[in-house]
Amino acid sequence: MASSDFWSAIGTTAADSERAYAFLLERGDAASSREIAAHLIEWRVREEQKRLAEAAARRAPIYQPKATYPVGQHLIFSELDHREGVVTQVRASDNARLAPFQVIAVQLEGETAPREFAMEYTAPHPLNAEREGLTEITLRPEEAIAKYGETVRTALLQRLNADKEFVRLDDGWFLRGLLPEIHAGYLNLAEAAIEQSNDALRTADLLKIFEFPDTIKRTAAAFALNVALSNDGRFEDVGPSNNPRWFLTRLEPAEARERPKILEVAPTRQFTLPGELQTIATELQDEADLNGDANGAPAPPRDEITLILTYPHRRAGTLPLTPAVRALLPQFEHPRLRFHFVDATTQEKFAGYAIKDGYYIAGLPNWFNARKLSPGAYITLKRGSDPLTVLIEHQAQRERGLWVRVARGVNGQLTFAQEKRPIAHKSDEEMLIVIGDPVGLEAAAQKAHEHHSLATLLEEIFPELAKLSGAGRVHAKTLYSAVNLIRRAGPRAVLHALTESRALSSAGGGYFVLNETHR
Amino acid sequence: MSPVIRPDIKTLFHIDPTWFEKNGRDLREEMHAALCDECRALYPTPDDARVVDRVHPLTAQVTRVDALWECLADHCARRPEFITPATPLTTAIFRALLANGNTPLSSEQLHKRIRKSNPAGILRVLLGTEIENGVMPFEES
Repeated sequence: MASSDFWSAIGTTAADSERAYAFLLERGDAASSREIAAHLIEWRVREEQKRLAEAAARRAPIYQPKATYPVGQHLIFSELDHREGVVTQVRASDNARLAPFQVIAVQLEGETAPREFAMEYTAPHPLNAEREGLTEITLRPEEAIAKYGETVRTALLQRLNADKEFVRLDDGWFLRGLLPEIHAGYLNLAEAAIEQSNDALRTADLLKIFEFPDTIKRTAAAFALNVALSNDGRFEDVGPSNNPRWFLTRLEPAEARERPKILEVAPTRQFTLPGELQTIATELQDEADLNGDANGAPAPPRDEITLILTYPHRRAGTLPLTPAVRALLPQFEHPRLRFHFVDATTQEKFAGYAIKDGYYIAGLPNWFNARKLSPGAYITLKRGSDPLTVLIEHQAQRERGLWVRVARGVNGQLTFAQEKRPIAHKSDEEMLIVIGDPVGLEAAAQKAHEHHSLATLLEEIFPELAKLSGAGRVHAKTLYSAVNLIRRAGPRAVLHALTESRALSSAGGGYFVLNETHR
Repeated sequence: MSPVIRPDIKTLFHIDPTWFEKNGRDLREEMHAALCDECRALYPTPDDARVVDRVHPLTAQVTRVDALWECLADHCARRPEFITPATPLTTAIFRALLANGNTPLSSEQLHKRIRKSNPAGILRVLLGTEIENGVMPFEES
């Protein structure tokens, strides 16, 4: 079996870059780093096996400086392209700085004058290392690819990234010299075509519009076009992984380009919650609990998920992109994925944007407004007929007057009142809050940001909500919904603050009451 | 007439031994001054160092070379005190070329070896009005 040095060296040398170059040149098409790494492994295994076979046929040992060789001994010099030579003379070394060793004169094949090499030289030298690589390669290329492919790929990426001959787009690699020219005219045509369709277009769709000469390989043209589009700020790849779809950045809604301020949330610690509150936190799907890391919580694939709308998302025209919501969409690596919402009732179709780093879905302000949704409304998302479609419905019901909590900001303070308001959608009763005065709430939010900790804020809000309930109890979900009117906070942070509060106590069933001493 | 090429960070430089002769300086004296204490004990004066066997670090091929250079390249240059952050830039450049057996190096390569300044800064020093330690652009004959 070859040494680990043999495998870890693959992908690190100039010869590997040259081989990758030749591979892409022969192929005439882009290749992924995995494909190039697999090719390199196959090539190096073949070369090593050939070299071993040649060495075995010659039956000469590999030269090592530490060994002793008599005159007449044939040797293979691994660092001299495995050339063979014969020892013709031996003399003593001449260097007072080094421990004494012998010097052999060797006549190498194809040379007229002998060269001298160290013998019985025991100082550290790379050629004195045990050369396991020369013994045998027992792995078949496909086994070697499975075992060492990722290591080779990592080393290869470093070399290719530093080499200007190679062009990269995502994980596709191609030769700069082979890229068909994409001039400005093509890009202008692409811009016009996308604008006209008002939808993201696949690279293949754009290529159909251009009249490329038949001599240019389609895949090479597609790679060149993808590179040109990705280098032009007018365009953005909003497609799923390995399926570029190009759209115009200027046609994307503002909330998809930049995370709305109202969604910004301060990072929090991970809290352990009591069982009852843990169940509530799990029910309330909110990206604010992800702490900027959705990778640690993979969601099992589901075809449907129901969310409860919160005020920050209502204002921003967005929904949380939690792992469960993300599981309804295809994988994507770029900052935005453009897909289609289809209203399950009206079949109205409109664009949605999943924002990778912001963990939210944009594109819903008109849909929310048209349905007059209030915080607390149920919104169901279902997997669509194709991967880039998501069905959306808001559980409409006949509009009728209901006694509900109405929130206002009065002199910078959040206040609540019970009022009869027309409601035309189903909602979570504990979380439903109708907005009475958005401007007043804004002023209360400003004040809340300046002065209060989350726990203090909850203690201030509590009496306002408790006065609406005969028993003086307020549900944790109501407090979560209410505090988010003036301060963005995830369910776990809110529930944890409730458990830490000295003024509030759990009354069971998710309800909290004000302690006697604080009344 | 060959075109004048503006030197850049890839232009190769070496120590020109004739510069030392023309300027009344002794290159071997300078090399001896760069030796570590251990090597200087072995060769107390430049004249004590003659030709010795040198073992190539990759091939183990033995060549006959100046003992001063062998010491510098294979011993002194591997010690941390050979080029330190406190070593003046011009001295560091000179020592890096000595350690490389006076095989020419570019400003970019010198920067990687001496870890001082930056390639453009080293180039500016090398192209300065005064030639330091005989380091000049290398012209292939």
